Amino acid sequence: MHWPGRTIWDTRVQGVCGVLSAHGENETALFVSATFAQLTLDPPRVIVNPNRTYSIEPAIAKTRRFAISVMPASRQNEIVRLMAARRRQPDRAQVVGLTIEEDVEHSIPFVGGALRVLFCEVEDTVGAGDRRIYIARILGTRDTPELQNQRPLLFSEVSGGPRRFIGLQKGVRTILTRTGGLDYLKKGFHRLKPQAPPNIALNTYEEGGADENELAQINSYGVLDTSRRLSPPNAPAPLTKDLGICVVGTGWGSFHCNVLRQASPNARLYVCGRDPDKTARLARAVKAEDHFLGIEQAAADPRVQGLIVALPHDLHRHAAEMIAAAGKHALVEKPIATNLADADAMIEAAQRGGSILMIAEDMHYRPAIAAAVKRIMAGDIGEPLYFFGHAAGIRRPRGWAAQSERMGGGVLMDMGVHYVRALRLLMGEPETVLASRAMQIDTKISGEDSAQLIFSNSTGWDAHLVLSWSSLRGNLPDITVAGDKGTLHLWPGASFIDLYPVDPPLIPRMLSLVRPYSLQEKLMRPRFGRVRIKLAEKEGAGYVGEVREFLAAVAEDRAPSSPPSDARRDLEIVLSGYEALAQGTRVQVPPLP
Amino acid sequence: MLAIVCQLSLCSKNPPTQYLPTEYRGHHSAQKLLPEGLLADLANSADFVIPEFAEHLVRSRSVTEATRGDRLTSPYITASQLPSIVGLVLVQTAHRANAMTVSFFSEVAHHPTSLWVSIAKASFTHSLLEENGGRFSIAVLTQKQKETALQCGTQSGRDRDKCAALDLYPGPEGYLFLNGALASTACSVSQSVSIDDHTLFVANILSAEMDSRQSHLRQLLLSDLM
Repeated sequence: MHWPGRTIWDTRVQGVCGVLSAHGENETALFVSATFAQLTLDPPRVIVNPNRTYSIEPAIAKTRRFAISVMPASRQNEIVRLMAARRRQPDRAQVVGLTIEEDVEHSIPFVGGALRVLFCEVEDTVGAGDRRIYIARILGTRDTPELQNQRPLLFSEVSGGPRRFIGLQKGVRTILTRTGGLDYLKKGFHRLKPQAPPNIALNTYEEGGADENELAQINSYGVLDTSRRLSPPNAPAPLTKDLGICVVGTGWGSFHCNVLRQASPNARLYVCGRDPDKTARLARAVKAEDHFLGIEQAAADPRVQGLIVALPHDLHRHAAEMIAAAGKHALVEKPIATNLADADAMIEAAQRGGSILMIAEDMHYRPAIAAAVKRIMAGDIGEPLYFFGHAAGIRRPRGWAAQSERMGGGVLMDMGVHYVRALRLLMGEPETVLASRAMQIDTKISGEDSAQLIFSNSTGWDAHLVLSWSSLRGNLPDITVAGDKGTLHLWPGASFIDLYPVDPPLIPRMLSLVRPYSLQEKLMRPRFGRVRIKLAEKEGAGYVGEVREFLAAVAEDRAPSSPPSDARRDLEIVLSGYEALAQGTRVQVPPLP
Repeated sequence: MLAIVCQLSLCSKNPPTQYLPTEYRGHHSAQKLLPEGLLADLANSADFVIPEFAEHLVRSRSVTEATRGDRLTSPYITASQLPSIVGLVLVQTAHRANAMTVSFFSEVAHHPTSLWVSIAKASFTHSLLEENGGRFSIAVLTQKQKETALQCGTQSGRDRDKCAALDLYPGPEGYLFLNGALASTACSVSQSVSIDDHTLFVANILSAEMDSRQSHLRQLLLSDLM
């Protein structure tokens, strides 16, 4: 039976699948294409027409040289992943695990393991709507002899995203097409969901086309999003070496004692405090090897190699300088300090002493963040548009924490640095910030008990933080990242993340066909549209990871995966937030060097 | 069976030897292989089986291979640098219709929805396209349509009505569509660019039809024709 083609993809003129590659801006630009073909035989020329919203287009336009790596059918999975990868993700090859090689003769990067590679040089371009036709001379070719018995990968095998049970799907499709069952199914489906008239030009434009104004609008945010500078590290392994670690501080320090026990049973634990009774009590409770009164004593003890500092924020500098002077390594609680001058002094002291200074930022080691970053780069949510960070809970700080000059502020300083780090890992570096706040509920503290900030970046994303010690979050994720193809929910302490793809899973897709609508509404559940992704790590928070990383850095005598400059930057961004709060206007965040 | 392999080029003293079968590559001039008169006779012979793929080469006096009664190997197959899918360009004028096998075609843009096809200037199809104002259709062939591709790629439409042997049906607005193809697409040329001995036709896609009974099959590839 003949069916009218609805889009250009129905014409099947997209054929053999290959990867276009060229030297781009600080990366190898890659683009999966099934719309290249030879133009003339002698001299041999080809035509490519890369999508103008991808980094490959400016790369080819600038360097005039590119490669077409024709992929064998056996590379289906990698090409599916490359097609699905985020459009503006730099270094897409690395994200999907493709090997990029360089042809020395022509200075053109290409994909390793291709059936055939064509090295091309642009001769001419022809404008043709939302694509530009590049007419290119073939400079040379390279074959992989061991793959010559394979046929090339076809577009129809990689379109539609990752698929499971491919063999079964093929079998079912063959039976349905041969028996005519497919026609009946299509007719039935169209009865339930009437199709728009088969206007191939309009439908194609609606699904994937763009006019010049639209292209200019899309590309005004850049073909690459280079705003993300931080990457979550791999989960550090538990320590096997014998190390003496002293936890300084008997308040939040007790939490660190427990984390240290979880992070490494091999570490010898010591405790340090000012109050003799309190310190001795904590040492007994956590079964510490010994305890010290005063940080000087702990830092001087030869049994101690590293110290975990959990003191009031304004004491961080003094403690860090003392530890560095003693030649010991320090893991200091966040924020690094209450001002940038103290932060700089701490970093300089560690550098002078040749010791490790690491800031305890659990967000950097939170497994959910690492998993979410992977999903973002893989393209599961498309282009990330909005970040929502919601840190809330009833807390009534007292003592030093109630004094803004010792705390460095209020909830924005205390919780803000965490969510700024999460923002930087998931989205990138903010460029501007606007801040405001609701009424003060806790009048016993001099700092703010709630605040909200809106960060922006010119590459096209915004971030909204709501921080409160005077309201509850309820059963909501603490971090949500929303993109044009899906939304991620990160739950505090959970060992999973939730993905809500724009293209819904099978069950809600099937239920959307149920009529009458009242029955469909009764049957449909929000969770049906959810894909729950389990994390490999049991600990949902990043506390154990951060301590493991500190122990590994000390044991291996190396810099930690997150240097103290990361924490200094978090502080700088939070201080910009305070400036915005004071001014009531959008404030520029100091740019990174 | 008389098997003659030749390459004649009056245009160039060093004809492209890539069009020769493997055993003759490396010869600077294929004229040395066979007497010139015989080559000319072959090239001009009315019953000489000429691949339309290579028709432009004949017209520029550059013949690839001739085997009387045998199917010819086309340089579009042997010398193609890219593995490509294969289709038929179907052109119709008031007096004639023709089908030509092509592999030099692809998608151009999504707005306007368009594709391109490269056609040798010397081909019959090219002249028909000039005559009918650039209206044609492209039928993308399935892996099971190798014979159709060879039939329409190894004979000239000037000498024989290739469409008579095809299962064609009228598509929208009278465009010729092919039964059994994966899809047939009606196109109208919007711009043409001359590139040496070929013309690049960029054409707007007007409409298309898919054959659901073939949708489980893959496209025919050039390598299937070797």
